[in-house]
Amino acid sequence: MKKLNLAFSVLLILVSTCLFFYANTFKTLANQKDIGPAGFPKAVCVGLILCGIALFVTELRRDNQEPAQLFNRKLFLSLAAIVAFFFLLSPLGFILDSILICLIMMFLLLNEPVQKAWPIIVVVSIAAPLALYGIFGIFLKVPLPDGILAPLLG
Amino acid sequence: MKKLISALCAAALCVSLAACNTQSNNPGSQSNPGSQSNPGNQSTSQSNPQQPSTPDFPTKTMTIVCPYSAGGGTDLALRILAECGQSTFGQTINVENKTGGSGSIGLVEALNAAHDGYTLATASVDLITLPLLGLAPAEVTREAFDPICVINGEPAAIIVPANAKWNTIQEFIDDAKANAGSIQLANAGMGNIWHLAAIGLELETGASFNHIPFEGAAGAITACLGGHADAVICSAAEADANIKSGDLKVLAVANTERLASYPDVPTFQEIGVDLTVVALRGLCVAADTPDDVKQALKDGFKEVINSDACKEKVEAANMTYMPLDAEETDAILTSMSGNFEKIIAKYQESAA
Amino acid sequence: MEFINALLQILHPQYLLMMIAGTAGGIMIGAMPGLTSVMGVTLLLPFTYGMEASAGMVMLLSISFGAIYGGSITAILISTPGTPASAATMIEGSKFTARGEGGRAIGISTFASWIGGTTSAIILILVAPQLAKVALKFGAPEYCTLAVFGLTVIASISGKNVLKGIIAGLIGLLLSTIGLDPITGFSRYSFGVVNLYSGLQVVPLMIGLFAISQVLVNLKDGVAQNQITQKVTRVLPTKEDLKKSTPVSFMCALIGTFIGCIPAAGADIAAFVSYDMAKKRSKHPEEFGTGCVEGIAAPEAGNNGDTSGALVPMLTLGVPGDATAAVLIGALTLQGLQPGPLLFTEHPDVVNRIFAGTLVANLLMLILGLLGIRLFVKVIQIKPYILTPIIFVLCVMGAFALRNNLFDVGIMLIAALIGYFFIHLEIPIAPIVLALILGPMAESNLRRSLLMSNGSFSIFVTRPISIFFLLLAAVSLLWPLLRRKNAEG
Repeated sequence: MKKLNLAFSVLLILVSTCLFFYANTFKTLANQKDIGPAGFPKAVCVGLILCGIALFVTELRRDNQEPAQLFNRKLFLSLAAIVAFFFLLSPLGFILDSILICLIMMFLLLNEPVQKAWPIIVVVSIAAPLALYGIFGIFLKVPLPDGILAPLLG
Repeated sequence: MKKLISALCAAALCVSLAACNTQSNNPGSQSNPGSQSNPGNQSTSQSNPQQPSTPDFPTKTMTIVCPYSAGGGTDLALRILAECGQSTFGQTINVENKTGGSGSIGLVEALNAAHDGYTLATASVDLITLPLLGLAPAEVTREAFDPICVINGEPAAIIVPANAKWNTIQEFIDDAKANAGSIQLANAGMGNIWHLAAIGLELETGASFNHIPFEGAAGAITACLGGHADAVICSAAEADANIKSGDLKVLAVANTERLASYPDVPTFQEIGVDLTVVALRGLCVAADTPDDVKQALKDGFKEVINSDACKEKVEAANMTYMPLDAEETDAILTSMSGNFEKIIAKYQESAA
Repeated sequence: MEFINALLQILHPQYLLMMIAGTAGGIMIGAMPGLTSVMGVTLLLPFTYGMEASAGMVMLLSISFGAIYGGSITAILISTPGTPASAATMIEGSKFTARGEGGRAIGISTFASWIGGTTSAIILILVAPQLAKVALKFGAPEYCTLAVFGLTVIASISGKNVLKGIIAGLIGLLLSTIGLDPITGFSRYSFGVVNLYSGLQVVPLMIGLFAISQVLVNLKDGVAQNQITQKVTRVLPTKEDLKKSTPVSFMCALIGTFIGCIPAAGADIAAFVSYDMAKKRSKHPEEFGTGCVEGIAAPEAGNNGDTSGALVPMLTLGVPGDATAAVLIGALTLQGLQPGPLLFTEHPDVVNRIFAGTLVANLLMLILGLLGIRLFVKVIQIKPYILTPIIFVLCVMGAFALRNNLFDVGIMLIAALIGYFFIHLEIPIAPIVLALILGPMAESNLRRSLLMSNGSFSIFVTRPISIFFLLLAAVSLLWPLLRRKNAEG
């Protein structure tokens, strides 16, 4: 945790400094007697820089604890699946895409033996997106993306 | 047992809501307490609509994309058009709200859909002002859309508290000229049509105000009511409740003729100030939609806006009924365009 | 008396059925992560077009009351606030669930919500016009100092590490500046992305930071197979729980009602300020954050108090008290009724029915909420490997349905990644959400005040209400020190 916090505080200081200078490029209206569009963001950036320094200093003084384990294989797979899910939402449509992501996530989360569980997984993965589409897409008319199924769903 | 009960309750809920849905989708059974409509009146305007020139259009549900949120003036106007249009076109017409980007997202979304006439965009002065203000993506231009109709237009108005020291618009303008920048004029946001109208007023009269932007007309009106701003520029319709109750008064409207709802309020033109700024609400469609489809839309909606049912709904909602067909809409947008270019140029020259 | 007449009319089946359906629908919508009460009212608005004016209004009111309450259910049971107003409830509620007392927490929350809603309904009925006059006195300087006071609440919701809480708050403030500048209309930090012009939307950000980040944690670590079973022995809260929570609920109902009266201040602000007030006046402030009764009652009473409070400016001035009220104004207008001072004189029957409706809707919310406790708790006992993906898909839909825009779904996912890191960094997330909501209010009103005063800061100290909030903010910041002095001295 300590290394992570130190890295974060450095990142915070760097990003805030960049954003502080970027704020100088904000267009503004002349003759306006207020602090301008850049006033508030710059003040916040200064605050973040100061806090970042404070965080850095307090973390340095702390004893080293066990290192944080941020990633593992399951997480990478999940992130890849979620990113794919997002970009496939429009082309595949809400229903198909959600069925896929449900299947993937359920298998990734499963702790029991697969044989027992897969019927429930398949049934819920198909039923839940369909039910949600029915309630929100059809009944409440939320324009969820139809994707490939557009000709079917009309 | 419990699960059965909850399932039954859920089913009952769905059935009752569905029942209300079909009731409201059925134009014949509309009950509108605010208007004088009776079933006889409604059926005469809906009987035997002229079949559109293309018999194949429309064959499925149509969509109107509204760039502003539900419950607002634009949304209300579009929903009235959708409801009245359903019987003329014989298809369901849905209104989808796609907000953001100061109104440009709604236009972008309409352009992103297929240009087959089933997705309609909102016609308003945004078509002119957004590209000029640099707030619209490249594909959103006035030429990218072909106007179909306008149902409602709200002219800008100068509104002050009832006990304000100015009793006529001339006094107001003279005061603003004599004491430049001393009158706090609340508006609905910088770059918003009302703010642009205020700049237009400055250009025409040489007056100068202290513009205080608020988030939407409601905020500006509240500020004026509470005495936190000297005056507000917005449409009379938006402040109607408070004008009728006597808390606010309208000094002038920026229209070509006096408003039917406010016959005592002069127009700017009457006192020699050439200011006409009207917030239009209507429909338009992507310009490269097939011509016969566009014609069917224009003819169909021309009938819709001229129907009594439509007029009653608009007036019952306290909006100014302004029916303009496709050519008239095109003409009015073109005539406003030059004016807006001047106004926005002045607005942007003070940008650093 | 006309009000009694209206009350009796409301209890007829045509209204009552609508209100039951509306309340149940509202609770479900509020419970779903990402679907807010505003969206619930917007989605169901078209259904009211065919109804008579007061029927449509009371149904929409039932939906909004139900939705504000419903958000607490998921906040408590699955640590996912269903609406931003429930983010404060989540702080205590999730601890109850971790102890297996989720049902008890919902019971307390239901009662507090009912007290909040009913108290503010009664205040609405009795003194709406007078309250409106007070609300009108709020100009830009008052809004600014109110928001500044609200931001000082960050210290109480930061948990143990206040520095990290402040960092979270500052990050939230910075994020809130993304988009078109509210005063000049020019772009800030939007880098030309049209979808960012309106800024980052609170709801997708919130679901991403709270809920999806948790989904990521579950995906990485796997979910514990031996879940904590929730014991629900009784549905009604115990006498002791009621004794502890009721005074707090009343106090926060008043706070919520007052905040609701102020146009543009919403239920989320009411919830956080209520939580903070309860913590400050509690004799055991250290219990807050570990799962204490007052910590649930306070924000729930506050946010339900806000809903009726928001009706005050709507009915008396025709100005929306919050986003839900704005949709209600649209509903009334479409029916040919104009909210504003004349509504009382021209359509007193409609107004009375709306008043009666608020009382009955709150009662229905209490009944349905209590009846549903066992059902709600059963739902979260579904095996985690099935529940988690369903929550994910629900959140995606909630983020999308806000503006019907896939971009917001993307924001939600990016926020999830950031939230995941923040969990490991032990940076609290609630201050980010609070700052995102209050930041724009503070900044835009600060600048508006300066425009009004031609650049002079004195405007903040020459107006009584503004001075009041500045003092409140100062006290709020110094409270921990004052408290320690009291304890030692």
